[in-house]
Amino acid sequence: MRVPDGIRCLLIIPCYNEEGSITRLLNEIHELDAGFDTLVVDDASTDQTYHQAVAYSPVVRHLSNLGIGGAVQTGIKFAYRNGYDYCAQMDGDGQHPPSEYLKLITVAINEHPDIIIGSRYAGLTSFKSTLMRRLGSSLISKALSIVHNKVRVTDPTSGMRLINRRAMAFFSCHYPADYPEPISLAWAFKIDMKVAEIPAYMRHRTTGVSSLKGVRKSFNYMLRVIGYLLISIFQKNNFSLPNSNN
Amino acid sequence: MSTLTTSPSWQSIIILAGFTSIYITYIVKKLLAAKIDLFDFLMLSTVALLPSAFIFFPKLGFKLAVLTGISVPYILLFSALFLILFIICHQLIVTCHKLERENRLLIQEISLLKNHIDIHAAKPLGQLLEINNKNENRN
Repeated sequence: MRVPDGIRCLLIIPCYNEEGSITRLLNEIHELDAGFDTLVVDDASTDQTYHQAVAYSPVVRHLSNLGIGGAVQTGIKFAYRNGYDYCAQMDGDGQHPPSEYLKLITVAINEHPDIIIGSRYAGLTSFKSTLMRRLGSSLISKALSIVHNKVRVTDPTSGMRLINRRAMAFFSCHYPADYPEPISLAWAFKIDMKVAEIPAYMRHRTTGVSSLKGVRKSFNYMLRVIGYLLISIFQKNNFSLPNSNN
Repeated sequence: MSTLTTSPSWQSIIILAGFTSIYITYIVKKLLAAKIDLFDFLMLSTVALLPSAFIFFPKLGFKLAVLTGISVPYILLFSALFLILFIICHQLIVTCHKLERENRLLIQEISLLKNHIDIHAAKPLGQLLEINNKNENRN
């Protein structure tokens, strides 16, 4: 299975100190040979991530660390300006198997949603995350559903997602710097984007440490996200789909 | 209380006059060197001018205190100073966030531009024009 001819899809891989996994991940994408283009966004890593990645893929290197939101937005801007039909976010730690993105692009082509999320909790049970993480994800999901009165998203914090050009146009102008996955969904709902979700298999992290390790950090994350979701109710006037190519 | 509020001691007058003149001279120099703008100058100078007004014109402070229903003029003075500091802090926070957004945008654009140059540096002009036309058609 491959990306259909005539369709261009970019895999955006935001990285910060992923020297332990980036080479393996890029090799895996090349071996899959599914027709994806790749762009590694090195968010000012202090290790060898850039030097390892640049041997396999185009790399955009930030001068200083912007966080995951800034890194993903750089990739979206690149995809939009270079005429890609779709772009997808893929974690640099190897948690997202490249083959799963073929499922996302199939849904994108057949059902035309603006955003397709690969969900850890929609059907497949192979991914066992921590209780705190599942609880947090569930609460954020409920808050998102209440705040925006839309179809429930089971995994709003999933970083495995693919977007079309309409979403690229929007996110290249407006993308949250903090807690980007759930907040970007809230913003997308605000401008009536169509969001779809499919079950997806994800691996456990083999290198590095999650930024949300520990009850306190998870709780903090959850509270802040819910706060931002509430704020997003009043943000409508700030958002519009751009007409220009920016 | 009335004597305390309407007649400041000569020590207070000397200390405050010294502080005000040194401080105002300092920030005027900053203003003339374009290190601060006029709004900053006005806000910062208030920190010295307001206590001076209360010290050099004690009756004014007393009348203002009566007018606002605050029994001690110095409470009014410190409330006003607190308000000014709050406004300065507010301005700083807004400016910081604006700079943060602009910094983020600049870092992204510089990185993308560098990548663009790296990719296209070796390509002939005809090929570059073809790529640009193709992207414009898609957009």
